[in-house]
Amino acid sequence: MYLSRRQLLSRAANGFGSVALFAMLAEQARAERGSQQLGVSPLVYPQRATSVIFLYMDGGPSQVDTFDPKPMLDKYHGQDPSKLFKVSPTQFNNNGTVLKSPWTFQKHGESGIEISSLFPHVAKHADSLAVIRSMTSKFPEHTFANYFLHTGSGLQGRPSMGAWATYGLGSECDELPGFVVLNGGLIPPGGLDCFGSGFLPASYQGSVLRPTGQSLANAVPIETKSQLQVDKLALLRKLDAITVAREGQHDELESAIKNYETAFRMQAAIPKLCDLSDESQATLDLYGVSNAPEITQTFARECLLARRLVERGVRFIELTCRSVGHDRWDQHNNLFDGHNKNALAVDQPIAGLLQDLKQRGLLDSTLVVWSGEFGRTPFAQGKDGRDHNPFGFSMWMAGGGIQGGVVHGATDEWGYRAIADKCEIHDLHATMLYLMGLEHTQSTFRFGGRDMRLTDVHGHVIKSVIA
Amino acid sequence: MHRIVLSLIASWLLLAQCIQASDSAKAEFFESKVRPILVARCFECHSGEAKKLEANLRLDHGSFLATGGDSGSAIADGAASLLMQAVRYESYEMPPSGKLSDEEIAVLEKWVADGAFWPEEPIPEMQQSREAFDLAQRRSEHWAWQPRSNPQVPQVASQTSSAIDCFVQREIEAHGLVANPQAERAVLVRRAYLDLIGIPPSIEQLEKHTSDLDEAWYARMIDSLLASPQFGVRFGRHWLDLVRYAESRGHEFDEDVPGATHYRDYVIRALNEDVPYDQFVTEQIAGDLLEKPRINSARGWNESLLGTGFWHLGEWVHSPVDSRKDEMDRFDNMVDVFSKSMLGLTVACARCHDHKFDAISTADYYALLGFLRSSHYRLIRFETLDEHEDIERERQALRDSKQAELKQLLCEVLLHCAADKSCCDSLVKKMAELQSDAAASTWQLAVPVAQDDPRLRAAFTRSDAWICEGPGFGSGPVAAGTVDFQFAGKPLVRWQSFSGAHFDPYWSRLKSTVETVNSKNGYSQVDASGRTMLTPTFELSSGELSYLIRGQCQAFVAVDSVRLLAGPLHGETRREFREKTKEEKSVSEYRWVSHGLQRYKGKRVHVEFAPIDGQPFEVVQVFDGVAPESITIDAIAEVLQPILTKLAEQLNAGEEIVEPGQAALLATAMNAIATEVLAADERAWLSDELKETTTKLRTAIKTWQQELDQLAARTRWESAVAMAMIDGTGENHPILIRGSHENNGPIVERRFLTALDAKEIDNVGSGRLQLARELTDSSNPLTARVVVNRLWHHLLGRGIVATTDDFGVQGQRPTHPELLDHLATRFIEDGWSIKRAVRSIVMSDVYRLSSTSDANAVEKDPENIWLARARVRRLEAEAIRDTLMSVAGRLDVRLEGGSVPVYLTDFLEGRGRPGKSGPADGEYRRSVYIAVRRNFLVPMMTTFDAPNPFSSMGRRNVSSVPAQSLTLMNDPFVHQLAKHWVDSMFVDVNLKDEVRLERMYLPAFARRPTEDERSAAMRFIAEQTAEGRTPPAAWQDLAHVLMNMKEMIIRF
Repeated sequence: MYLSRRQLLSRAANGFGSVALFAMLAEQARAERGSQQLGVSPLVYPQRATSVIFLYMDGGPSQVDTFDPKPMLDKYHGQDPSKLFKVSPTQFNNNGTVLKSPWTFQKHGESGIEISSLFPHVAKHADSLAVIRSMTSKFPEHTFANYFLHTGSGLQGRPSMGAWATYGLGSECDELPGFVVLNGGLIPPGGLDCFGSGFLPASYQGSVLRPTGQSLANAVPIETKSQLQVDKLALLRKLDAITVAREGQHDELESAIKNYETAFRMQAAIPKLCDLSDESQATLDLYGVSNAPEITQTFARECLLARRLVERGVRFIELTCRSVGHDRWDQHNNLFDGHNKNALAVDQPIAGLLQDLKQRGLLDSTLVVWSGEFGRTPFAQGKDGRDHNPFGFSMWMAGGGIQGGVVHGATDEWGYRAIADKCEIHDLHATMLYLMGLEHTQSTFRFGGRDMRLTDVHGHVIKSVIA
Repeated sequence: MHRIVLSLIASWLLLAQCIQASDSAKAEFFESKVRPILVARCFECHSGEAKKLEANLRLDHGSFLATGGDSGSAIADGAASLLMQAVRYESYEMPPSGKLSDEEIAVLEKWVADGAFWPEEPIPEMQQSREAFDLAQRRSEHWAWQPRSNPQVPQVASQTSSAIDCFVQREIEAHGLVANPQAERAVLVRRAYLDLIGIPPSIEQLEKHTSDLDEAWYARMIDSLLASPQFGVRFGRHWLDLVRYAESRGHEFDEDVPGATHYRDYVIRALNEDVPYDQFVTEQIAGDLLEKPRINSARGWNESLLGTGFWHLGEWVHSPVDSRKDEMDRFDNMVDVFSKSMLGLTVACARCHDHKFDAISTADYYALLGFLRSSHYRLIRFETLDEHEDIERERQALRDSKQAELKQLLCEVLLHCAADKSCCDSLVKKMAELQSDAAASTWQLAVPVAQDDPRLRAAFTRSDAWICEGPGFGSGPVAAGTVDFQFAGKPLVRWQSFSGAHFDPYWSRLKSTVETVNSKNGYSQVDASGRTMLTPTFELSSGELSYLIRGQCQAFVAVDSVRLLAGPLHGETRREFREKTKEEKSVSEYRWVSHGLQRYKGKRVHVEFAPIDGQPFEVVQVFDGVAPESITIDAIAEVLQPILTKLAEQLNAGEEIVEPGQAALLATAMNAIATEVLAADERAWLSDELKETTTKLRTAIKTWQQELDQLAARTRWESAVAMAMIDGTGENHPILIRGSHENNGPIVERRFLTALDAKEIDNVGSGRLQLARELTDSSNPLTARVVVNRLWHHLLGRGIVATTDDFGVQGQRPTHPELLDHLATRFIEDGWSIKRAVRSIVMSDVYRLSSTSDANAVEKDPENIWLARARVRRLEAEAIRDTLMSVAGRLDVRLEGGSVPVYLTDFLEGRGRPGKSGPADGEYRRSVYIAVRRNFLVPMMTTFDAPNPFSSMGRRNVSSVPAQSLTLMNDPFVHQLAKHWVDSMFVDVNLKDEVRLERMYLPAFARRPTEDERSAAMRFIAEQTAEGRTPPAAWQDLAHVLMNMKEMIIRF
């Protein structure tokens, strides 16, 4: 492998006098990609999902108000929880009484999965969802839990799952980064490090794209005429070629030259990506890009862009929420208004995404994951909020090898702690990698004397949610 | 051992007999249901036949169940036992291959509930002896632990100019390679500039070095670079990579790391001054404990102390729900960074189990943790710390000199008053005013508890247990019976009832400064710096602490050393204890106050006392529990007169008053008198007979005040603060079984690593100084090797040990082991001088080789391991930005000062975002001076692989990503620099184009353009101007193209 790459590069080096360098490099890049897998991890399993869309519900949606109905809460509403079950320390230490869900649950689809009235649109896809009601986290604080959800470690500076996926599988897109974060406006606590590449090379870090305005930092040429930039790059190629001719073969030099070609393509690809004029009105309306309430439109655009990124072969796409006037899904008070608005902001767009992927035949190869960093307490914080709860919460997956219409695991009668088929974030990661064809124990990177893994020393594939 | 097993079996038999009736049913159940599960699902790892026995737990005989494994009994607590938790996947998740079925779990549950029956049978033999962790063997087998050799310099065929080259040349020859010729002079100049100072040579510098006819031109250039203050900037940044340097804490709100930039400046100064490396690392570890600290020659402050900031540069979490876990994570990071940066070892891998590969045990890990547990984080006023010690000594000497006279005078007044009924009445009235309730008929005199009370956690009676970091509390307790003078607004003389820690308001005037970006936490310590008193660390056994104090103060209880109070939790760890009214502020008597800490029962804590608004206060005792009762006495003159008379007589006779109640009463009386004497002219109750005495008293006090004023005039009040470590209570740490902070194992004495011949720590404090001494002992095989290898890595592009932070088994082996030892040995012999070590490397032939590569050489040595050619390297992030600015003529090379705030683009978002953006141009300062905020790292830096500051990063990634090209192509700052560059080229508009191009090429690439380049550039200018663009505009685009040339960011 090393030699063939060498040979390719030396061929390229010989041709540096030619003006066709640009085209040649592009061709070469494609040739390389065709002849070898770009990722470094072996494909161990059939690759069910070639792309992942991670719908990150920042702040922690409440499981007992969304996907995990608990009639006991109605029965014991208003009572002191510590008299009913063991209450663990909470972050705000301001525990109120048992709080019933202000929303109603109904069975949906043939599978009859119970989903609350917060998600009328998503509920229509109940038969596509595998709901895990027994997810747990190790941390009751946002930042720890965010790092944990994203990187498998509560500490700062570890590679994000998108970075691991791209590191393991490479990217199928030569004009966009392999790991894209669509920033709805709320960067989660813990900051951009949730999307970092940690000790992996910088090439695997998430590129943050904004769904409106200038999408990517430094992706817009400053030259007022596009021809000017083209002219400049032509001159640059000529001058770099002279350097190469003089200095001979050097990886550093050659890869830096190659980068300019990719960057140039990226510069052109991003405006095209974000230009939705080639989408039909029906598609736009499906997501709610312009016809839905204003609060919904941001995520609608993100979801539509996610589909467009999948079509372009981007490996891992994460969507973050927009602000709805409350502190994310983090309803320490005013649960009713906050969750209503947060759900309104994402429900139709997510349903639209599932529908659109389905009708385009992309859902089978696209894994969609919906999760917060933890859930919320079944008892109130103060009067009308809920505190963080890492002991048991709900999340779901769809597409990409997932068995639809399945509920996995359960919390106790209060919806407080996972008791059956308890899952960890590591299990989620192991499962995601499995669906991408990777074995989580074999996808490693040597750092600081250890073979590091997304799942550290943990993780079991959750077999029962796999089709 | 045998006996224990036998007796266990015996007890099983006994038990078995008692319940014989149901035994057959149990045996039946066990054999048919339980044993099959255990055999099928557990024995693989938990039996005598296990290849590797996990967790020291065997489940193949009844006798093992109760004692269990590393984590304790397997079956105690029945349904809640570890075994049941594990199979229910609640704590451990066993078996890991997949959960047992519900039926199987139910079987085990029933079995355990019924007493975990096991039939009488012999204990199965261990099939295979356990693969033991053999530290000595591992040590003997791995190269890095072996003593450093002093290898002979080999003979080689070709002519070489240094010993280094002999070692290198031998390998080149042995591998059938031929070393490249020396690089051209201009290439060498650019290489040395970029490597040693991180910026390319200017036209003038290039000119000077290339035209120097002296043979020694190269040595001269190297010496000038080593002497340049920019050397420290460049190599200081290398060090900062190792210590995860940052100016914010990351996590949710990205709080400030206060005074971090002083650490950065300290590092750069130390490198510029060529502080010997052994001294430098000693300062990092224990700069606070040096008998003779290094003094900053220009500014006079204690430089060594600043080094200890290294420990505290890590990530911090506000409001952790589990404070103990948080502490363990912080300690872990400290050990990790310490061991990687200074020893090239991954000691932190031994947190949960003995190191998988290296000769490092879990005991080693927790032995190191003891050093951290015995030490404190403090913010220190480093600029004035040492001089304030002197001032405080003078102040105390002054106080001591006053004692005899003042005591005598006060005693005279008391004697007189006690003898005179009306005077005594007035005195008692005055004394009542000092009590909390002046109208009450009885007084509550708060007194200390007995010194041997087991609930007493701190008594400030001994100066050898004095934990504070500034002058505010002097160097020890103020003894009972001392007459002290307090300089706070109105003069005030106090008679001390009890020995205690006494904050003297002389030090209220301290002003501490720190740069603030984001500091919302409740206890930043900045204000309290120089005036905080710490208790020893102890376990809080009750749910509240009581403090015996006088005056008003704030108390902060550090629980598991959590200090970042900025969230919903832990607010109650900080309390203020104020007095009722303003007048009472500095006059009232001792009282017990209590601090509710219900949530922290059983936690390890220490208390930090600091003043409120600089008001004086004393703290006498810290008591674990509800405040002890006070002594009640009748506040009637008839009762008090004889007591006071007796006390006065005793005192006059030179006796000490030690009984607490009497001491408290006496102090109240003396304080009442002193207050009265100082009050005003109408001394209603002090008779004329005392006039002489009171006048003397007033004069003495006035003199004292004047003397203090003179002292104050010489005192420098303002100082910046920086982080430091100071000693706390010397404490060892238990081994945590499997790294779980909820599972304490045996305590290990703190010490250095076993494999490095750790010695017993005989130090009374933390022992960090001894740790540093052992680390830097010349017999330590690692310290010198690790650092010279780092220098080699920075200068040659690849370490002799490529894995610079891991010299362990998992790291790579040295390519030139003898050279490594040669360098390390010379380094030590040469006084651990970094500059001289750098010099010896860059003076070698191998450093000066040309980088051109021919196909044959690449074929034979594609990775360039044998160094027959120079390594072509992309510049680091900082060097790229600094080079662009330097080329454009805009680089500001000033040293020191705070940080230039991060330029906040729309893409830099998130919690803790600084309120103010820095300028896009970073004020043109060298990149090391741009703020490093964990959650807002500068995109241009991270794009070019500047490290994320979470652990040691001795070897940066060198990635190649399109974002790098996008930055250079489209970042407005780069365009702006191109404009500056061209503007300077058009100051002389008549400059010929060829000359102008040459003047741009020289600083950019240390060479003139070739004919091809000249014609390509000129054609571009011609085409652009033909399209109607002005020459400066066209040239600006050309400049921008040059800035995008790969040669700009590559060093050949």
